[in-house]
Amino acid sequence: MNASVLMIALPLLAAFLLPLTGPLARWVGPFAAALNIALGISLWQTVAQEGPSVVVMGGFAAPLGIVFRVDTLAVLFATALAALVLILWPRTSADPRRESALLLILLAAGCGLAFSGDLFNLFVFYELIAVASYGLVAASRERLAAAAGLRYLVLSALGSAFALLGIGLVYALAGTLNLADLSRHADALNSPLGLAAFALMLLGFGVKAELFPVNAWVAEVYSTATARTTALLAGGVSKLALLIVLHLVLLVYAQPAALSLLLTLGLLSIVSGQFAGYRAADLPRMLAYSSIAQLGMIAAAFSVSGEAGVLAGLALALHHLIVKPALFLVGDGWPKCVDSLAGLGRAEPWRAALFVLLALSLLGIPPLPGFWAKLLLLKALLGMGEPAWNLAAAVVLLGTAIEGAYLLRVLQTLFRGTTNAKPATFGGALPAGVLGVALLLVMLAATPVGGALQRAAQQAADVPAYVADTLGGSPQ
Amino acid sequence: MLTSRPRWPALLFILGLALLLTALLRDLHFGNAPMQVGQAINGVAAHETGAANVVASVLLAYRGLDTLGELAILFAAATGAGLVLGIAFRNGNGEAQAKTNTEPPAGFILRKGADLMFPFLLILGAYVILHGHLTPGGGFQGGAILAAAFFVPQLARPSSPFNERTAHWVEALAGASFVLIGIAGLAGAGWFLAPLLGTGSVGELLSAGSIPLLQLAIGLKVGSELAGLMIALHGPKET
Amino acid sequence: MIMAWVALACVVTMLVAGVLVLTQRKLIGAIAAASVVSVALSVLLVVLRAPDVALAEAAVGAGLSSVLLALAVRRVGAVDSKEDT
Repeated sequence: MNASVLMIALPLLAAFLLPLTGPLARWVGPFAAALNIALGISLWQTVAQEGPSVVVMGGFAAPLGIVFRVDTLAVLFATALAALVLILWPRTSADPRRESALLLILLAAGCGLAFSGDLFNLFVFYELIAVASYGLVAASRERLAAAAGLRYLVLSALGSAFALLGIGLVYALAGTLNLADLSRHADALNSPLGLAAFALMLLGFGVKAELFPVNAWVAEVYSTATARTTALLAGGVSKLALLIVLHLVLLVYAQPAALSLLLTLGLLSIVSGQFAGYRAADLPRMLAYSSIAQLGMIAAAFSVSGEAGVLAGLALALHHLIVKPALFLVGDGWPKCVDSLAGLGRAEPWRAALFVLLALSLLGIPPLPGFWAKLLLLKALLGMGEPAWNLAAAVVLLGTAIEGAYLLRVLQTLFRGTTNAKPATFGGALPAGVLGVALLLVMLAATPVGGALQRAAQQAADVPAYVADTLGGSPQ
Repeated sequence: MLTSRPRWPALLFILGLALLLTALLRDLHFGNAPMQVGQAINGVAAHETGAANVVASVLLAYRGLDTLGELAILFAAATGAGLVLGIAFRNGNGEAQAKTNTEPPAGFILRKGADLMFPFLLILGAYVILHGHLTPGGGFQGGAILAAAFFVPQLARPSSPFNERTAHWVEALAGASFVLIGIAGLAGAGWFLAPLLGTGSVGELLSAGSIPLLQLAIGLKVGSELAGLMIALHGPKET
Repeated sequence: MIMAWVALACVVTMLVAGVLVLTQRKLIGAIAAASVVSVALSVLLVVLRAPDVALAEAAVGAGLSSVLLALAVRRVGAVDSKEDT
């Protein structure tokens, strides 16, 4: 179980020591990421055998010290992030040492976000991942990227201030910040002020999670940063931010008002994202808006209380984690304007075929995994049996229709006419290919994957067990 | 002012903020928040960690992982700034350091003042770091003072030498030692960042287990990092 | 009682300096005003009996961050140019 701490400590150690490693520097990062994957797999086996457990930092038991909750969901996300970082490790970079250090920090912080069971500790790791991502966004040597990065930084700093204010309010109302302890004191937060704290945290963590009112940075950053950074932010970081929200609604804010708020923001993200995607003229922006909509769907799924919602959100999140980075990588190097894509389907058949596969899965065409994820979402939403959630199901279907319209437009353009442009270099061929193969493997192994996700959702939704595991041995 | 964008989003934002503040003032009972965790820590901190300064015991024992995170945030921020500004990474050989600042030295008052203050700033920084577990202060504050101590001479005489290589080594090793003390706790006591070396008697300089060591690691890392960043920013523009 | 007056003075100084940050034409002036906010805040924190935080605010907020901002402004060369209004 201590491997969970090492998944944070070792990348940080590597990042700190990176300036001293000399010629080895370029191998340190991938090695640390691979080590994290190995640690994640060993944790996965331990959790499968012994069930979820709690790791105590420094030997100080739960409400006083920081604890890590190691369950299937957390291990899944930590390992997936490590794999994504390894796959997307940049081959060339203007400043490899600094970029490697930032990527390692992003990896460590992401694992912390997955494991931590303490609200303030989550905030620290959220801030860490944010600061690391500013540098990575600005590392793209495009002038526009610096401007986009600055605006991203300002919005994100504002969001962090909101989140911190919300966390401060939670502490003022409940007197503790441990999630399990907060779960016991959830009544103290069941007031207008408690809900205001939730709204503040939603706004704050929503910046990275690309939720509706605070996602203005998404399109700009994703269309200017390097494809690998974009893939990492859209694929990995956004999910981890939503994971904080999931912990909050599961453990602390299981009240209807908070769930409706999350659902509303999710639906607004879906609608605004899909319409903006429909109107977008260039491919990276279109993918960025579609990413907003997809994350809105995950948020809507998390607003369904209980196991069904967690399962649907988990499936959507993992699907998006595989598909969207691959789409960004395939699109990298192609002309940005959608209309200029004409004929590329013949010029680069394999690359175009990969794009088609990914886009169809994103849309949710059976038997691709995206279909099952969306089906789970619709089942979960309708399972709530409340008018607002039934309406949400309709909104998801409408959003999918719009998504279909613009994605099919791209596919149609790809295979229309001919181009006499030389095939562009496909720099991201290897990572995109790996992700494409992963998608196909998930499709073939749908039953075992579904079972594993079911187990993860079951563990995550079992709040009494979480509280008992965390606070069981504590004096209070 | 900046552009002719519509003002209503800003107005809406201010309205929301005002609403929130009003709600806070009306509903929040200032002064009697349920400080459960705070009270509990106040009761046991000195006994459990041996630190006379409760804040230090919270920062480095109860919430040591948060502090490691903060340290990494500062590192990430400095790294990101270096990346954006394109400050060359000078790690190795002395020849890279030949490029010194060619600005003329500052006036008499600044030069003499810098000479006079340097030793005192060093001592103050070291004091604040090493007494972090006894009195207010600690690694972050003392590190900032140390950084200032090394930056002031540069301000007075831009051509005076600063050994960036040593600064890099100190920074890297100090950061690594924080993590390694944590891992040592994992190996020794079974918990990451577990207090080592016993608590000692509260109030002594050599007490509170590994807390002073962690303070020292933070102080050296923060000091060398910030000094390096400021001197790089102050130095001649590259690229 | 006297502490309450000191605290009030600190808060008023912070507000005034905060407004000055927004209204200063020159960036370097705004940075100086921002550091005044930090100094007043650190005094306020001493009054509130949080010496640790006060020390951090004085060293980092008033000292280092102002120096870093000033250096950054110098580096991008915006000290003397007219600010966009």
